Amino acid sequence: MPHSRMRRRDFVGSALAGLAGPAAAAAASADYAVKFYPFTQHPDSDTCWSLSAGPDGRIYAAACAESVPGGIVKPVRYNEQRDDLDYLFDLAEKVEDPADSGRATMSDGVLYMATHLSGPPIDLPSYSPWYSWHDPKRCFRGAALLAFDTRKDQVLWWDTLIPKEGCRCLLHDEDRRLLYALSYPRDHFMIYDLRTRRRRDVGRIGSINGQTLFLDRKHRVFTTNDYGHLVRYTPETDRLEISPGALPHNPAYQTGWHSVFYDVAPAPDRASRSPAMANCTSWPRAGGMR
Amino acid sequence: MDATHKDREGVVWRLDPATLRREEVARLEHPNGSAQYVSRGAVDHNGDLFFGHVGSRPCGIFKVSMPADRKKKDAHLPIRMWG
Repeated sequence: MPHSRMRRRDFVGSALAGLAGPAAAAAASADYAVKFYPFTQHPDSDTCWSLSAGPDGRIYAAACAESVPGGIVKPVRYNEQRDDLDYLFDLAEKVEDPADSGRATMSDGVLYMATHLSGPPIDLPSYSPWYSWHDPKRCFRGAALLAFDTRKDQVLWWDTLIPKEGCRCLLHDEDRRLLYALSYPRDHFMIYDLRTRRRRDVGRIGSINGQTLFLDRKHRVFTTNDYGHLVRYTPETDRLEISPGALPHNPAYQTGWHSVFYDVAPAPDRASRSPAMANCTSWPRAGGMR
Repeated sequence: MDATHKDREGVVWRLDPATLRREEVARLEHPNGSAQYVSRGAVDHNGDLFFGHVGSRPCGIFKVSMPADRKKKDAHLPIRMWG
């Protein structure tokens, strides 16, 4: 059955690993039927850190295996005709970094995805990025950026997005053909130009990653830092700025520390994008984020 | 939470951002484990909800099918460009 296509390029991203077929779970409500689809064809998968609608309107998810030595990621897609999951490919094979390498693992209809890390090298029980940082065999090779054509089910190309580090989150400025990313563990702000396929490290934000990046209408990029402040990147000035005010938190129990964005959602009118935590007043007289 | 809720289940709320009124619409239950840890959510082109799950092996995703009167074509547009 044809899926509606969009002209706009997609985005999405993040890294991960494998999955499987459907195994019915629970029905919670007569009106809202609920079903669980385990990643049965990736039995080592233990997390699903990324899930998004693709440019074709179908759901793509990452079946990750971050607690398994040599664990790999498999992108999957929900198939509504079969009411099951399609396993698209083994991402480790596509970026020429197979599970047995010994390392830490982990427009128009094009879906961009990038890998993260946390799966240990194949011969270690757990992963420490610093322990393996200078180890040429066991270090994480870097976040791989992969372009997937959802109309042809074909990997178009891949590149190294962030050497030696994982990609915590990914944002696509479709108009300017730019990808923005946060690196882990060093929490650097990265820009990747899709036209030239060149990357640039703008600088470090802190130590605790935000889990998401998002754009406003002026093409400025927002995330959060360790202390619960907004971080804003303005392309025209090429500067990262920290808001003077912290985001809302309960002072009885919190200081703002580690109050990072985990996700944001568009407003119901789709005309603005509202982060779950912020009321956009952290920059007085700045006109908010819309 | 009322007494009908189970341990380790996930709850899906419907929130009116204008009034902050919310209603519970669905509960996520894992066949043999916890379901309260959801990493991400998304809407597909039919308006159905999907949630990424963390905490079991193998892991997986939840689908919440919307009732007929809340189905919406091309509900994923404008597409979300971050994640």
